[in-house]
Amino acid sequence: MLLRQRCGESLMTAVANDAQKAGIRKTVTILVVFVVAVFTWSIVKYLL
Amino acid sequence: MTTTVADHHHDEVPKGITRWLFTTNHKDIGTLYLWFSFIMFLVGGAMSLVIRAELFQPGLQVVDPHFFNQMTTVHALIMVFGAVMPGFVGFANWMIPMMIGAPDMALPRLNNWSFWLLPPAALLLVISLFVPGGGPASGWTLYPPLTIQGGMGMDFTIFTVHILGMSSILGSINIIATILNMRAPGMTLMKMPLFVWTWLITAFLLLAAIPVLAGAVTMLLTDRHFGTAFFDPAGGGDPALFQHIFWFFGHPEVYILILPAFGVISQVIPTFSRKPLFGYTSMVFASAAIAFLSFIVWAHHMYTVGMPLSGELFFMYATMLIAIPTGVKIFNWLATMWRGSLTFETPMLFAVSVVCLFTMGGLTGLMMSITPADFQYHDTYYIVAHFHYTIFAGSVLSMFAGIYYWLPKWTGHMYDETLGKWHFWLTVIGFNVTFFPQHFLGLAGMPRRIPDYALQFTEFNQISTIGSLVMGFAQLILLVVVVKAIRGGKKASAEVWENPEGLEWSLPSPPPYHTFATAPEVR
Ligand code: HEM
Ligand SMILES: [Cu+2]
Repeated sequence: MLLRQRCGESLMTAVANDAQKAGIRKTVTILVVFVVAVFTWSIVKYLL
Repeated sequence: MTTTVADHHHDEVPKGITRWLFTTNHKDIGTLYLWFSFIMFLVGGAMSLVIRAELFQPGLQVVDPHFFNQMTTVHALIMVFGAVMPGFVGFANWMIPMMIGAPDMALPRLNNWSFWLLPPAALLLVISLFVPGGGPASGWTLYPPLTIQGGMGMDFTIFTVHILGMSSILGSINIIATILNMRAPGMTLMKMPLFVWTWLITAFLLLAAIPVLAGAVTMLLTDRHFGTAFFDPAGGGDPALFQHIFWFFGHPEVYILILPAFGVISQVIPTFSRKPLFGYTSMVFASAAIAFLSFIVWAHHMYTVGMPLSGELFFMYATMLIAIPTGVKIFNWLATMWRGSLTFETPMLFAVSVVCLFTMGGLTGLMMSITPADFQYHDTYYIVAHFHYTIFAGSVLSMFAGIYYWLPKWTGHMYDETLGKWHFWLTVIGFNVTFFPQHFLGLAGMPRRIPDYALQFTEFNQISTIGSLVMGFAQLILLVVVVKAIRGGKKASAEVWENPEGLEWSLPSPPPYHTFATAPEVR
């Protein structure tokens, strides 16, 4: 379903090439790690 | 710049309800966010009218005090988390890909989920009003010990905050990933429109602030149900600790509400001044400076809690510093207008009113930053006046400016300028009639969040209530304007305005379902 929405055979993907894809992966990984760390620290700080 | 439009094969727009449920298209998702925001705006607005109705006269007439407190709390939560934040995410979704020449957001399916988390969360908050014990009645700041004691409505609220926070975090990750990775060739960071810059900075603020709020409400939850005592003095906890954690989130949050607004204004003013934005680079650095400073001023919300003198002084001076980058922005907007060939279409009217009225809010903020003076202002209607001048006259009026500015682009039709002007004048007059007298009430000592008040406050309260009715019902005009523009009207050209700057204006109005499938060249 989701894929069909994104336009038939020649999938209209947002991502242009592999380099871009790798860049997005890297950005997302860093940000997710950051968010989890901030959340955890905001609580754990008061348990130590 | 070249205009590239996806070939028509890619342009079949899906139909029916599934289009909206499963959409991964940034324009569809932007539309969903904007409508959600508008509905929340009306719901939260209705609650504020309950508040103003009760305050029309001293004594208790309309609602009982417990319900009144729920109204002040839920009104604020809905406006901040349901109306303003999602509203600007709607703008981000629509405009960022078109402004940087990207075909869509970097993570389109995550984008769908970020949006669809919102309606259930909002529903949960509204349902909380009807469970035994009622909804949250603590004020939007959720201070313990009251929030440790409340009924299950409080648990609903905590869960709501968790879900909304999750949505914001996912949205921010998407926005950052998009801006950093999806720009068209030649679109360097320092060529990005200011709206994109302010959103990039806002997204970082969200990522640093929201997890802290999530931590705070999680600790509230464990204090309530799992025997911890982070904030419960009975178990050795400290309620003031919650205030520190909440405001470590809360002050960056107010800049989360205002920075995208600054971005919108920085797009609108140059167009209607027919001059490029004055001081682009300083605007970028001022936004970054505001973002940094917003993390070291939180305790100006709690001067009266009893801090060491050195703490009070630190937070006082740090807070005053924020006035500098904010002032830089105001002067840049003024300099942009200076000797421009100005015209005052509805978007420009709203933008100019933001510059004037937001500055009022900034000045009262500066007064409140002075610790000894704030002992007088704290927890009075003065605060209520301050934050409505910043959030309503800053953020919401900027959104209105943005809606009128981009509505012809979004719908392909010009909006009704006469109705737009009516909407503008009734809103701005109603706003000032509502909130200006609240400065006087606050200075005279009327506390905030009370359903009843001493007799000498009556006149100003009556004026305020009358203003709020004007302002409230004027918003229905906006609904009419938007629906009319969606249904038809004068066709808008691609440029819509006179030589506006930005890639979005190189696309037809309305833009095809998929745009920039091939990246444009930016020189
Ligand atoms: C020039 C910059 C600003 C300064 C110096 C400033 C200063 C302050 C201070 C000192 C307070 C605490 C007053 C008290 O509770 O006793 C306050 C409250 C508040 N400010 Fe500002 N402010 C500024 C801009 C803004 C902006 C841009 C927004 C939002 C868009 C905002 C929203 C709020 C809100 C919501 C509160 C009340 C929070 C609450 O207690 O419920 N302020 N401000
Ligand atoms: Cu603050």
